Formats: sequence, structure tokens, C-alpha cells
Amino acid sequence: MHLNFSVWLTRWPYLLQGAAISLEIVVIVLLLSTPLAMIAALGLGATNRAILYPMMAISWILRGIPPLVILFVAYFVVPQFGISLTPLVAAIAGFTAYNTLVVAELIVAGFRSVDPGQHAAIAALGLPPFRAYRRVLLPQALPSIIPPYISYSTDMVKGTALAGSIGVLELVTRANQVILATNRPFEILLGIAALYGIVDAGLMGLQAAAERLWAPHARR
Amino acid sequence: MKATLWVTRYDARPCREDIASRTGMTMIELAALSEHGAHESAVVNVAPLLRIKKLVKRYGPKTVLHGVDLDIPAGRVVALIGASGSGKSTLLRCVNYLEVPEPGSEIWLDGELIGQDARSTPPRLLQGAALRRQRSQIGMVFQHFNLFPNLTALENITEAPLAHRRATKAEARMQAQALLDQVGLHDKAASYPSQLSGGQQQRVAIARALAMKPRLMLFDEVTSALDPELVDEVLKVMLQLAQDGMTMVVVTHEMAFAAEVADRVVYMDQGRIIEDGPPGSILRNPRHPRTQAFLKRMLRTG
Ligand SMILES: Nc1ncnc2c1ncn2[C@@H]1O[C@H](COP(=O)(O)OP(=O)(O)OP(=O)(O)O)[C@@H](O)[C@H]1O
Ligand SMILES: [Mg+2]
Repeated sequence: MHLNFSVWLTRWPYLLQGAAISLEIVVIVLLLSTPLAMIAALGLGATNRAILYPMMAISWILRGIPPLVILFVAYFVVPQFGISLTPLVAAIAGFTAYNTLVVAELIVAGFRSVDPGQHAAIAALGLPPFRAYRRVLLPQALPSIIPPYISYSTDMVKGTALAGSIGVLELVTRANQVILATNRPFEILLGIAALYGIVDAGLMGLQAAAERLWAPHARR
Repeated sequence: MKATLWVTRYDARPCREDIASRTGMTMIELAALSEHGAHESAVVNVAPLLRIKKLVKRYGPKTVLHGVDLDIPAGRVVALIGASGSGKSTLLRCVNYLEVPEPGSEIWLDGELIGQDARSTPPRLLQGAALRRQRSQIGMVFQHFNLFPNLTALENITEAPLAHRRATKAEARMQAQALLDQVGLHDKAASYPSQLSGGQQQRVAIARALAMKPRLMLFDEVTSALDPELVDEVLKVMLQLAQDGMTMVVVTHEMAFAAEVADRVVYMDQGRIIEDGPPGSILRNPRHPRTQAFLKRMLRTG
């Protein structure tokens, strides 16, 4: 087989635009879902059952159904209630809903992994909750939250391809179009793989840095 | 600079003679010290520093404490002994409301009702800042230290005074360093708990509890998790604390320590105090058959 990457000479702006849209989805979804996840985590960690049980139900539903179905709901069902969303906005909303609960569960698990003795010490010293979280609990929970957080974020980079199914012209959808137009699948797909690889490598670098940063504290 | 003197003498009002005889200080020296905060009027006030009344605690259907009454005058050291599961830890944890006792139970610290609002009938449970303030007056030391692993020894000690705005950063650090000196760890300020031995960690934990200048210290089997050769360094710190007049409730399996340091030994069995008296009589001539059996077991194993 003879590889000819010259297709990229004319098609690269179109494909890179697709990559930019994918990246845009990831970045916006992370920016939205991370703070939302912190709030949702409060609900999932609540002792008040009137808050806890509904949150658990929401979490169970959103994490239980395929993300593709959530996108369909955002794009096809939500407009039935008079709110019509562009494909891009629907995709961002759908991914955000899913990711919020995924990350919230990570946060809850991270805080649960902190030794109960820490809570006893905090209570006995009378440390106020906000300060206790900032100074004691969060620094101990982060080492177990950050690695899976980044790993989920990496998954989401790949997951953005799903947005194509509700009409977002993201990277994979555009690649598919270009392949059909040029009949050069290998060259296009190798290039696409390289683009994903670059983004993933960036995230993994971030993960390694984060682990180094918190490692000294994680020791017991 | 504002004088932030670190007084290692604790509020030991009603029994100055007692302290004098224990520490070998003269009454005049003690009177001078008491000017740093103790009230003369309190000398005639014989109310105990800690008063536990009708303390009942249940877990589900199981009653763990059956209406315990216990009075401890200021400056006294009470050793709390008893078999595993007899409710010693639960008792300590009820004193600072880490566990909430059943309604009707009362914990009084120096005339203040702990964990409940005395003004409302029936008393409402205290929460938030009011409860945190009360807890900060009661130091607690745990079997497994429970130091904050992400903070240095010094930061562990300064955390509570800073959180309660008791001191500026500089004052808190100075006081923490003084406390580290007091527990024999003057060179460990910058060490993380993971870099310290168990005995050193426990001494940091004691210093951390002392940083709020508590009026009462609770110790829950603080040497049980230590290698035998590290036990003494911790007991020494506690002995010094007792000699300085701190009021202490010490749950312990160290009978020798109880005999030497405690003014009183309290024996608990199945959620009740069944024997209470001077160490000499309880440890040597226990009256209750269960106490006798317990002490026999302790002597065999410990
Ligand atoms: N959170 C809890 N939930 C249910 N039961 C509990 C709880 N904490 C303690 N208990 C029960 O209460 C009883 C008293 O426990 P506690 O820990 O106070 O005993 P202890 O005298 O401190 O024993 P040990 O010497 O083993 O520390 C035990 O039967 C224990 O099983
Ligand atoms: Mg116990």
C-alpha cells in the first residue's frame, strides 16, 4: 500500500477545525461539570435523606444510561419542552450532565477514602467545616480524586465523537466526510489518531504532574 | 509585642493545696500563678470541673451506657479501666459530644452544659460554632493519634488556635514550638507525621490537643497502638501534665501508670461504673468480683 498524506495539504483547516470543536466541547464540559460535580458531591455525601436519595437516583440514572442516549435526550427531547438547542449546545449540555455525576461520585469516593479518625480529630479540635475541608480533608482526598478524574477526562476526549450523531461537526465526523470525499482512509485516520494522541499525552502529562505534586502529602 | 505567655499551669481552682503538695510549690507561688486567670472566689466553689450526670447512650436497641454518673474535681487524674466493650471510649466520646448521648444525659464542664443549650426546655442540641467552641476546651488524644498527615508537626499544633482565631500566626507558631519543647520534640517542628515514630506522633497529638489550652484532657488508650519501647516516652509526658495540674480522664490498660499517676481509678463493666476509688484500694483490693477477674487478667497479660 502506498501512503500519500497530501490529502492533508488541502483538508487540514477543515479537520483542525473539527479538532478545535472537539477540544472546545471537552474544555467547556470540564469547566462546567467540575464545579457542578462539587455541588452534586455535597448532595451525594449529605446525611439528609431528602437530599441524598434524589441525588442518588439522578446519579444512578445519568451514569446508568449510555451517554449517547443522554445526547439524544438533550437534542431531540428537550426541544419538545420549548427549549431548542443547537447540536453543539445540546452536546455540551448532555456531556456536562453525564460528567457532573461521574466526577461527583469520584469526589465522594475520594473523601470517603479519608481515614474516619481525621473526622474525629477535626471534631474534637472544633475546626470549622470549611477550614477543615481546605486544610485537612481536601488535600488528603485529592490524591485519590485526581488520577481517575484525568482518566475520565481522557475518556471524554474520545467520547466527543458521539456528538457527531446529533449533528455536531466534530473531528471524527469531519474525518468521515473527508474519507468519503478523498477515499484516503488510512492517511486521514492516522492523522486523526495523532491528534487524539497529542491531546491525551497532554492530559497524561498533567496527571503525572498532579501526582508528583501531591505525593509527599499522600504518604502516611 | 503582646505577651503571649505560655502558662503550663492549668486551671486547677478548687484544690490548690492538692497541687501544692503534688508539685512541691509553695502556696505563694501558686497564688502568683493563679493571677493569670484563676479566680479567688472559685477556691470556695467546690463544684467539680467535669460532672457527668445520668449519661445514657444507645446504639440502636443496644444500651452501651446505663446512666453513668461521674464527678471529677479540677486538677484530678481519673484512670478509666474496664474490659473491651464496656463503654470506656463511648463515655469519653460523649463528654465532648463526638457521640450524642440520649436526651436527659448531662455533661457539665465547669458549670457549663456541654452539647446542649441549657436555656431551652427541653435542651436543644448545640451545633455549629457554639459546639465547636465547647469542644475546643476539651482536649482529646486518640489511640491512633489521628494527626493530619498532610501537615507538619508544627502545623498540626497551630491549626486549631488559628482556626479559632486565638492567636496570630506568629503567636501560634511560638506557642506550638513551646509545646513541642514541652513534649520533648523541639527539633521535629518541620517533620510530617509519616517521618515520626509512633511515640513521637502521639506526643505531637498531645501537644496539638494542648494548643487550645483545654481545661480537661481525655486520653483514649493512647499507648495501645505503640511498640512497647515507645510507651514510656508518652506516659512521661502525661505524668508531667498531671503534675502540672491538668484535669485528665485516662482510659488505659497500663495499670502501673494508673497506680502511679491517677488520683482515682474507675472500673466500668457493661456500661456501668461498678467500682470507683483511690488506685491503691481498687487495684490492690478490688471488691467487686468482676473487677477482681479483670485485674487478674490484666496482670497475666500486661
Ligand atoms: N458506632 C457504634 N455503633 C454501634 N455500636 C457501637 C458503636 N461504637 C461502640 N459500639 C458498641 O458499644 C460498646 C462499647 O464500646 P466502646 O468502644 O465504648 O468500648 P471500650 O470500653 O472502649 O472497649 P475497648 O477496650 O475495646 O476500646 C461495644 O459493645 C461496642 O460494640
Ligand atoms: Mg475503646
